Amino acid sequence: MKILVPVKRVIDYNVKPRVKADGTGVDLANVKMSMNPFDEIAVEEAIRMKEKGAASEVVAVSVGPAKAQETLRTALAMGADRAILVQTDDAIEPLAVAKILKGITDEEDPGLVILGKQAIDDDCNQTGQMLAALMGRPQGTFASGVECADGHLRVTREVDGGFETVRLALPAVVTADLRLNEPRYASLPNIMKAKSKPLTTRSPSDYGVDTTPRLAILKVSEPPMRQAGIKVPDVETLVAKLKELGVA
Amino acid sequence: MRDPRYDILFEPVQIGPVRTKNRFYVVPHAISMGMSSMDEMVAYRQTRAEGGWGVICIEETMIHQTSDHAPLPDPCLYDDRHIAPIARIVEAVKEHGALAGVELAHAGASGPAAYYREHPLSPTAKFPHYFNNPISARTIDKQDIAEFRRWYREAAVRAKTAGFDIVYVYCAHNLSLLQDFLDTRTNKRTDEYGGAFENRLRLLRETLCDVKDAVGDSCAVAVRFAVEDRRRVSNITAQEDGRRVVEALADVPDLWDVNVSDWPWDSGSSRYFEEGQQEPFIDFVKKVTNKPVVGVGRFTSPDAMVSQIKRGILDLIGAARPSIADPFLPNKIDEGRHDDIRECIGCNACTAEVMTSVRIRCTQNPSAGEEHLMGWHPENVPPAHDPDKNILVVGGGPAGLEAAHTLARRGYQVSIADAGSEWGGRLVRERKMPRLSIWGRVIDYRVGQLQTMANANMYLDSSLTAEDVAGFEADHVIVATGATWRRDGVGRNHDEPIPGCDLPHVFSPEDILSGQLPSGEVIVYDEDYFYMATVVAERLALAGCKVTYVTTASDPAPWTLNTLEMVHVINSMNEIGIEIIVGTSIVSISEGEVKTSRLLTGAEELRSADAVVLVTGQISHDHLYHELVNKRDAGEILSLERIGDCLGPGQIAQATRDGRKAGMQFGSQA
Repeated sequence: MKILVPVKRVIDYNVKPRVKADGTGVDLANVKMSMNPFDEIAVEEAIRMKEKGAASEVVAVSVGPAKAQETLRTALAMGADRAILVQTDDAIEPLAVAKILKGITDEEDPGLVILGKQAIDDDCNQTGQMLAALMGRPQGTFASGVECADGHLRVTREVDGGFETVRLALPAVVTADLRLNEPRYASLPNIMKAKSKPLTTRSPSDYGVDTTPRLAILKVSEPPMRQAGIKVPDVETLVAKLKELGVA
Repeated sequence: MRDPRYDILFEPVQIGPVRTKNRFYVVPHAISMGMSSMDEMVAYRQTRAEGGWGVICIEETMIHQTSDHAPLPDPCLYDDRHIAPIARIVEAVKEHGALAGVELAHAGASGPAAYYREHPLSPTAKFPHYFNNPISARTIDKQDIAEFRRWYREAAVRAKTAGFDIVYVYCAHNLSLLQDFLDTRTNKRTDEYGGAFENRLRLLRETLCDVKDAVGDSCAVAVRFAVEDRRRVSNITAQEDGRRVVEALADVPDLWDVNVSDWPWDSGSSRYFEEGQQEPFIDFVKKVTNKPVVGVGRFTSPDAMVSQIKRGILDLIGAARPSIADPFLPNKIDEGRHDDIRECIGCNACTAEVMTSVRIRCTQNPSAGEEHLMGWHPENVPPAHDPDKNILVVGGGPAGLEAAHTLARRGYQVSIADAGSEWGGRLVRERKMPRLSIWGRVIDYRVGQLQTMANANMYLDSSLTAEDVAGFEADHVIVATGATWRRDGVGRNHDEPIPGCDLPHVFSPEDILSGQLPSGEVIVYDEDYFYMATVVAERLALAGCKVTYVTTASDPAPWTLNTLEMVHVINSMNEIGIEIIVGTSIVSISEGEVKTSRLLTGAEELRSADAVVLVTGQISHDHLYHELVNKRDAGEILSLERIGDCLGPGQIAQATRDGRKAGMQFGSQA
């Protein structure tokens, strides 16, 4: 079975994002970028399935600028076999990404697509679901456990009330939650070795996808700064203060 | 942008006739530079003023030749010729909007007055408190007292002429003649300066009034006062005379700078003291006086500082060590950059240099004390000569991380790799040992900074061969692969392996650090002389071993005298029940037994031991470096250096210093 792992290059989780002065978006100039942490978990899961013999090949794919090659190299260093970069400098919305991925699944015919449940930059949480719909295949989202058995996939999902286990017929789409696994580091020797693994570059037009945005960003702003609190001596003062502030 | 929660820290405070710009206050602290190192002193103090502190005080400044701590170099103002050089510090500090303070002091019988070959002064004749010089302090008579008051007044006038805003009267650390007068142990006088409390207080009161009279019109007059003597049983406690002094003089000074004495309790190391540990001693002061109060607590967190103000403990946040580790701490809080604060780890590498009469240093901030000599700045680094240059740092301990951080700040393309799955090198394991967790800040700060830098790549689980390094094709390779504790007992006293060192019950710190602990009766043998043997001893005692600590030194862990920890090391080993044997060497080890020898007499003894831990020295982990030297000589590597413990095992302060040096020097010849 071949596993396709879409990965996204995002602002590094250690970085404190800054909003551009004109409010059009987040300032990305000279900001550290790395693989979306949920996608790292997806890569790890795919590699573990291959190590267990449940998969024969892991193909990483990314849609983004030329620099997304670095993200793919990280996936290759972790253990993916080859990579596809669908190169574009445009801002791509989840639906366009899902359509491109659909084009790739048509070519590659994977038994499983596993990707992060959401990206930490836009927090959309849409691509996996849209892709499953476009493919017309089952989906197991927010996975905290994945098991391969008798040609099916048992996926444990983190839902509001607890855990739900679903059985999916393959091919299927799985989106990885935080607790699925703890991904390995891409070591420096493996990063160097990954340079010789195959990486193919394509473009959105190869898949006939129009990436024109369908959403308009009106404004991006920072969350309001927390104001200093006050201590009150007793409940009566607390109630009085709350009334004063108009919240009670 | 500043978090409004911290606005209170940026409020001005009126101190007598002067007003601070904020509540950040650098208290007087020795930096061991002295009058012959004025460029160094100016640069050191100026850097803290630049970083936003509202007040910068200089250390004990001697008012007379009968007062010194030779060989430690202190500044002085006992002659008009000192005014001009000292005024340079004041100007440099004021340039940045800070107030300048000076701690005028007479060391009394604490020091030997050896530099000027005078007789030290004491309320009642006695040997100096701290030095072994064969000289006794002489009793100060009435005429001397009049002279003493004149020296203080004249020094205060010189301080005012030099431009100081705050002039201190010093009565702390058991380093002050005035404190000797208060203390019934050192004051046995029967005249009006001895006996009753008011008599013992008289000279402090007179001196304060003299200084106020002399310069109080334009200068604030502060008193540095130790409210409790924690070294030994004393009448000076926060319940007794310490409190009575504050009550009696409540509104006489313009500012109370309060602490406890001696220095090992005031500047207590993080191994033995928490942040804010002085609060239970000093918290009464603000209730007794209407004047502002400053005190210290190794505070690095703005929340802890705000709490001190809001709870009415302090008006000004005093700091020595946090300002050494991060001169820009106030500015970082002001700019909302809390994550960038380089927090003091309380290791007292700073005091160790001062105690050994070498200029101050800092583990966290390698630029401390190097502002002039090396031209290093805590925040600003020279830009990369070529930002495309690509540097590989091998080893993610204190040295490697500091080198990587410095190079990345300069703008180079930096990759740092470590064989382990956690950053920190030696500190990965050491920070988990008893009392050492705060030291982990050395790693957390640097990793936290590097993780956000676009030009820094960090690789764990990355054991590299010489071929890997050559294949990386870096423009420069820095090897910081650390050191390993040796197992053979070779150390300060043993030039050859200790017979029996290869027996299975002989351990090295490596084993203990990795959690492989012996059991039963254990001898921990120290020829390292710093913290490791005592930490190992404590770790094993906590694990239930019956531990005997044996050292060739005449005191346990002798270097800890300089980090102000020795007294706490001894107390804590006594409390835990670790037997201490000094001046004794291990001759040989056999199963169940260790033969020791008294160094003074050569007398040999057999001691039973189920296990022995040899803490005698470290060996650089430099195999990779030597393989890389061959590759460099063969032209496969462009440029190569080694730093930190890989170059020569030492204290962490040396590792970060090496890292900074490597980071600053790269490209300087280009």
